Amino acid sequence: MFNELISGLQFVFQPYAFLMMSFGVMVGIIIGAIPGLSGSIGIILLMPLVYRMDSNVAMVMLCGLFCGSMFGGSVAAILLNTPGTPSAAATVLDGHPLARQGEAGKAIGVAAISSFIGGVVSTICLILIAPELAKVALKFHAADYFSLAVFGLTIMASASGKNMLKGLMSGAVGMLIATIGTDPIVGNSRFTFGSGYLLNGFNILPVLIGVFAISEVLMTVRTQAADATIQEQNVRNFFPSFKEFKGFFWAAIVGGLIGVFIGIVPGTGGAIACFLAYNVIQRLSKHPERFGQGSLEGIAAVESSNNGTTGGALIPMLTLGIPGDVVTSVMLGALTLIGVKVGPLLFTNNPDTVYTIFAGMLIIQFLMLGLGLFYARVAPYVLKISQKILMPVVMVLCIIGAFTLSNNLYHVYVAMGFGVFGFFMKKYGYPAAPLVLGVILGPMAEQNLNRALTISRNDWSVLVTRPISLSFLILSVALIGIAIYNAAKEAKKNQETTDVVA
Amino acid sequence: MKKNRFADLIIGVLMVLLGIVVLVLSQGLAQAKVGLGPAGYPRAVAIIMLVLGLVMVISTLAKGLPRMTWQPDRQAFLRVAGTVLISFVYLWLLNRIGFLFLTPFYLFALMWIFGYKNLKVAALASIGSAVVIYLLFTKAFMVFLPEFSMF
Repeated sequence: MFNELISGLQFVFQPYAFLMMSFGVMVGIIIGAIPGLSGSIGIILLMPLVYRMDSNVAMVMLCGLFCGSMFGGSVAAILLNTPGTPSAAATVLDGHPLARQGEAGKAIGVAAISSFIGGVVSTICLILIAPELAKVALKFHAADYFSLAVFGLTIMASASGKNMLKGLMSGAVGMLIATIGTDPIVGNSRFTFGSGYLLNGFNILPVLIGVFAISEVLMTVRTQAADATIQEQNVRNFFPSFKEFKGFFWAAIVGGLIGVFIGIVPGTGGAIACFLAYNVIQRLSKHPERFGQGSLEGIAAVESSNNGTTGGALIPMLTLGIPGDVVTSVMLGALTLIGVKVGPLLFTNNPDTVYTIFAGMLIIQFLMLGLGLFYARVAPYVLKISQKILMPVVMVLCIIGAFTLSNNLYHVYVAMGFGVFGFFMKKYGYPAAPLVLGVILGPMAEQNLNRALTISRNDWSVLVTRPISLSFLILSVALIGIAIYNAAKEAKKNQETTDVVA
Repeated sequence: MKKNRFADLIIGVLMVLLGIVVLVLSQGLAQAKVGLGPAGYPRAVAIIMLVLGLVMVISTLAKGLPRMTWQPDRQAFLRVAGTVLISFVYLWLLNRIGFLFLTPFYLFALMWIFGYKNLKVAALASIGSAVVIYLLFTKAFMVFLPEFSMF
């Protein structure tokens, strides 16, 4: 393992790889800091570059963007009182009060240092856990993979909003979209209605561009929200004193570990991790009364936990092909496009790729610390750019992203169509992530179910006689059961409240 | 809330209808004696859609028949529809007029729809952004973008 990691480090220190990795981190920080844009949109906007890159360079660039966007969200949370990304939602609680006390620089500094600590903790866990999990996953049978795909979809649906039913419906539509085109079993055309364009089905990139990025532009134009105002802040003295550092270091370590744990669970992500870590650290702190008033421990807990999810979310994505959160589901789509097949075989067939990612993730944390503190100085100027100028530019970048897929406008029209579809999904509270996961996992589910049934001569019991497959199916049913129970409980509570009011 | 419940009911019904259409269409696909065959998976997805759509319809109706209280925000609707329409017109003209000449007008129109008041700054930002994006992609990233063509 050690030798492979050294080779990975040698790769990421090659000038081109290092430059693109730094570029990814910088773009991630800038995108993450802009409210309305997120890591997933950042990955989509970089897609025209990703096609032309060596797959390993593309991987580390996307990882850099992922980590950078997690930290970037905190800059807007501290300076604007508006989280740049959902993962930085809890940073507002202590980051902005500290900024109001004239210590925005220190708040950003603590956020950067804690992000670094959380990122390093998560990378170490990634390096230690992922290869072991991949060894277990190598023993998976076709039936296990089918049940894993079902589990991935169920957990993403359950974690993507209050209403699990809407998440499941979104996932089912994604699975349906994946059936369009040439079927993967015998090669017959399916639901193409005689269109040559549809023979290859819908490429994942226009779907991603549409449901994540264009829909966001349309949501912004719908609300026409006023730009957040940025006050004059002291963004200079970034570094806390040694005593202050000792005070929040433990919170950053615990937050990082919580982030890793949450990140590993598919379908979760930074938004859940940051609130959980905030609550845990507040309970454990010697000064819980300072939380909400600009507590450094509070900032450290949130920022280390959301960066802790990065390595955690990569674990199921790299080993099982199941993304840990929304950004990794977009990343999975991007990797599919450039021909990188994630899953346990990646560890045996392409260990160089795996260890390049591990090494890249380590170096990215240092880059994020340096570039993050540099960006903090210019952030007040960047954040002054109006959303009303920025969003039209994002729209043009989306169009270029879809166009470069095959240098024709077909994919752009598809992206536009999915953009309008995604807009209505967002408007009526249907999460987009399960739809994308349905498109990605649909073929995996179909091929593996077909393989399992062919081997077992159409014996469906193969899905419940194999322990791994049975476990995933039981977990899926349990998740649905919990969601139904919670929904019924909430409905009963609402009914009781209505009765009391009446 | 009521508007969302009405929308959920409509979406539930559409989901059921889509499931039925997929089930009917999958009848025309080849069947397999062993394994799923081309029809097996779409059929399974259609059944899932049918069930989920039905659950949505029943759970919405269980809370009482939702009334259609849709009062659209006319301005918001016009902004979204305008953005989509202008985008399709932009795409239609893109191969004829080219990225560099057409994009400033597109950006300016979008900024206006987004409600950016300072038209001088919007014009400068439109031209500047279009030129920077064009040069960045064609010269630095070597990405082909549509050029002006007489034919």
